[in-house]
Amino acid sequence: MKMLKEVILDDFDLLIYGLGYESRSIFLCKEFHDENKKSYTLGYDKNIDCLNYQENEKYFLDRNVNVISGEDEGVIEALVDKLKPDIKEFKRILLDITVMSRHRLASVLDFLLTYGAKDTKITVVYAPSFFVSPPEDKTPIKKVMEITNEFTGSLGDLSKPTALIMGLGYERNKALGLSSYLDSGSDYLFIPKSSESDFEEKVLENNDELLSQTLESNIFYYFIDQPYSTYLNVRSLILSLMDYSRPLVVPLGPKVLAAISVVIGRELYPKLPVWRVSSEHTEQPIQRHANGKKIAFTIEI
Amino acid sequence: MLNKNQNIHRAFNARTISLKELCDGFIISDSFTKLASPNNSILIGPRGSGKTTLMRMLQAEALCQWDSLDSDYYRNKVGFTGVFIPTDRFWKEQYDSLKKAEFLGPAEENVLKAYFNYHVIERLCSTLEFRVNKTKKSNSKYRLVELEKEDEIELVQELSSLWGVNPRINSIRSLESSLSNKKQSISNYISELKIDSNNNDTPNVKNGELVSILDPSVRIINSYLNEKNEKWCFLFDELELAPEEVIQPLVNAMRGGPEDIILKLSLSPYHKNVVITNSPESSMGEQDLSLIRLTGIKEKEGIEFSKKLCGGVFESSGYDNNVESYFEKPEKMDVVKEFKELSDKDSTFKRYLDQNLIEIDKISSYTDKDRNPTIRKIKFIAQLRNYYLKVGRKRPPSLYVGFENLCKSVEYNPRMLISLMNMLILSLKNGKSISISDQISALRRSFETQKSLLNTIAIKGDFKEICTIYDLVEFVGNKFKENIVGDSFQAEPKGSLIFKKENDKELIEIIGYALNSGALVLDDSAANAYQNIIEINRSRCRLNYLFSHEFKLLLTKQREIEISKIFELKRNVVKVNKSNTSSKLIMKSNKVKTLSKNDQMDLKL
Repeated sequence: MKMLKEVILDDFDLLIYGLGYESRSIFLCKEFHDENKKSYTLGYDKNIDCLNYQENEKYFLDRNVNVISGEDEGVIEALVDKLKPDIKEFKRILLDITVMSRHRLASVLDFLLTYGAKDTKITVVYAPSFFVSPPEDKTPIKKVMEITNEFTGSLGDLSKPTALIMGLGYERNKALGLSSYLDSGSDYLFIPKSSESDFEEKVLENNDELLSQTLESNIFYYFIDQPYSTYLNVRSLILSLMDYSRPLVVPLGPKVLAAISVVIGRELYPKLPVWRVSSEHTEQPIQRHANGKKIAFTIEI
Repeated sequence: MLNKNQNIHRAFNARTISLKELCDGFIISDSFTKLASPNNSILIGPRGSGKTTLMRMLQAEALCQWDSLDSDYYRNKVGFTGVFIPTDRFWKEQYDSLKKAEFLGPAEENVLKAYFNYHVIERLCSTLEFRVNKTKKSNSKYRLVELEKEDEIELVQELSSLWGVNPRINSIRSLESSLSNKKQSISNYISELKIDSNNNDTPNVKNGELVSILDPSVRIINSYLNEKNEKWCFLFDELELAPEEVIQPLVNAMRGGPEDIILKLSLSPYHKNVVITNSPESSMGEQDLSLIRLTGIKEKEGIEFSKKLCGGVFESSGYDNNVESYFEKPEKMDVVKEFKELSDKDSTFKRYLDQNLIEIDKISSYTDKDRNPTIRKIKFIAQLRNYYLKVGRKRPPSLYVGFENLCKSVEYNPRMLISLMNMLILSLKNGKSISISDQISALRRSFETQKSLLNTIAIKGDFKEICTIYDLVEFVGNKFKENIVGDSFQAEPKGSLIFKKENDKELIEIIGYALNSGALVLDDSAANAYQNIIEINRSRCRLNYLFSHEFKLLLTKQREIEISKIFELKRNVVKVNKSNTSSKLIMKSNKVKTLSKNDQMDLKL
């Protein structure tokens, strides 16, 4: 398995989308869809009457996209059941992670990477939105858990300290909470840079406490529209930390980093833990319109 | 207690600084002296209170390397070989997750459970290696032991057989490597079960209760080292992060355990599954263990410690004078002026003075035999009340500022002291003193940092609007604030919480987490110190003094209120029935445009 320098954006024979209430949920379908190819979209069991959900569902159905809706585990299981018998026949797969939860995108991507045929190319695509302010509500940490059960990681050597590698998002002090909860030996922070300068400002503002406590040499920036270089940087940091610590990756922030972390987790499987946090917070539905750009990377199995 | 030479970033974690840094900056406290005694101990404190530093300093490697005026004294005094056992929260999360994994049958679970045993044995072996091979190169030669090569070979063979490992050669170093490999093989085996649950390549492991493995190990070691009755002290840091099944047996072993083994356990104040005192079998007294608490430290001890620690922080930045001299001192309180101002604008205070026959103009003539005790009791309350009822420009009340008050405000917590001092040093330019307003700003910043942290800790339970530990602090703080600056003057405001036969498990757990995070502090005057560890019932606590400035509270012990009373009103009446949530899966085919029963496939998940 390797991540390709170039991105493949055509001739897909399997397309997997996400169905949500945001208008951008169908943005990539508009661009990439081919009604003659097998396609699925994964919907939810909550907020299905909010904003554009019904409209989006109709859009997918009108284009021969199979809709699977429900809670996470059921949806993933159903998709796997559908795809597993002939997964090796697909050579070019598109995975649209725009409105997928981290757990979903990790589960689906991991399934494709594990069961796909050799030389299959999987393109992961994300449609960023125009800037929307972060939620005002507190998002305290209630659970810290694997991004999927596959990524618990090895126990490693308990005599070595945990090195926490975190992507930063724009929720106020979420990363600080995680760092404090784990009381890890050292934190390594990845700050997203994007064309939406408001977003970057909010990321810095809402993580100021953590940033002020972290050694400058442990703070890295990454461009969310350059997944390949992000992949190389994160991977090389992890490998160097493995010599004297137990690295743990928690990709808060943009989902592209979560997808990249899953790829690295699969490459280093079963050693590398890739985890997530949950505040069990019910997000108030907010509209997010695609800003017209797309971020993509391709992995060859 | 913590390293005084740390920069602001690294001072936050005693686990990761090097042994040299730890020793170079170590400051002796009464707690260290107590912990160094040769008996079983439980060290209790919230995060940042210095537990790890104290435990690490007692390991043989640290005592050997420590070079200070007092180090020889302690090397002679410490009558055991200390073995430091680190734990880790993330490791614990992984362990708990793996334990619940479907692919783990009883046999595999036994392999997983053996991991922590090997972790402890490896640390024991590492300390043994240090005493035999490394300490001879040190200046102190601390706990140096001579071991003939033939004896080393025999010792390694004996221990290998006991521990179920196969070192490549019969040396202690190789034995240590084989233990490390054993841990790795367990880790790999468990991980690979995910890929192949029929993996028959099961590592041969030593199971059983930890102490029952350590006991013969120590006896064998002592026998080969010719050290009859040498005590080996196992220093379990943050024991709450060890596997659940290890904790209670270790606590129980503190009573009548093996004679050559001393156990020192550091714990957070609350751990719901550990029982230390509430059963007749596990009841313990002073003869069994010493209990050392790192919160609620006495003022004199706290100030003495703070002077040394903060002095070191200032010194390392080039400020060599007495640390207190860098702080602008608050004005001495003018009681007559404060009382006059307050009684002019607050009729309730005036009434109180009248009822207690206190005449402001005669205050200087009162003695301890008449009104002085009352005046002493109310003067800070009056000062605070006067300050907050005053309109316009005003200086901060003296009770929060000045070196000693600042140290008290952070409860003499080493981690917070270092952080606070690092902030204050930044405002010390050209050798000038740190102004009162800079002191307040730094205190405020420490508060904001703590608030941010506490806001990330979720609370489980059906309490209205209280979803984080900080919400709890805010709720309690505002309740107490009312007692100080509310409508009427109160000479005995409520400022601490007491549990009386509290049966609300949810509430106890919340208070427990608040204690562990340091948001609440157990009060010294609680009836029985032993009950404080786990049995929150009948114990008494207060808000951390760091919140006093924010909520206009005093830095002294206040009267208590029963906790269930103030929380009664915060309970949500309606509980959400979680089983009502839908668990249906709907699949819609692209061939179907409208939703009908036939188009839906409901799966039982």
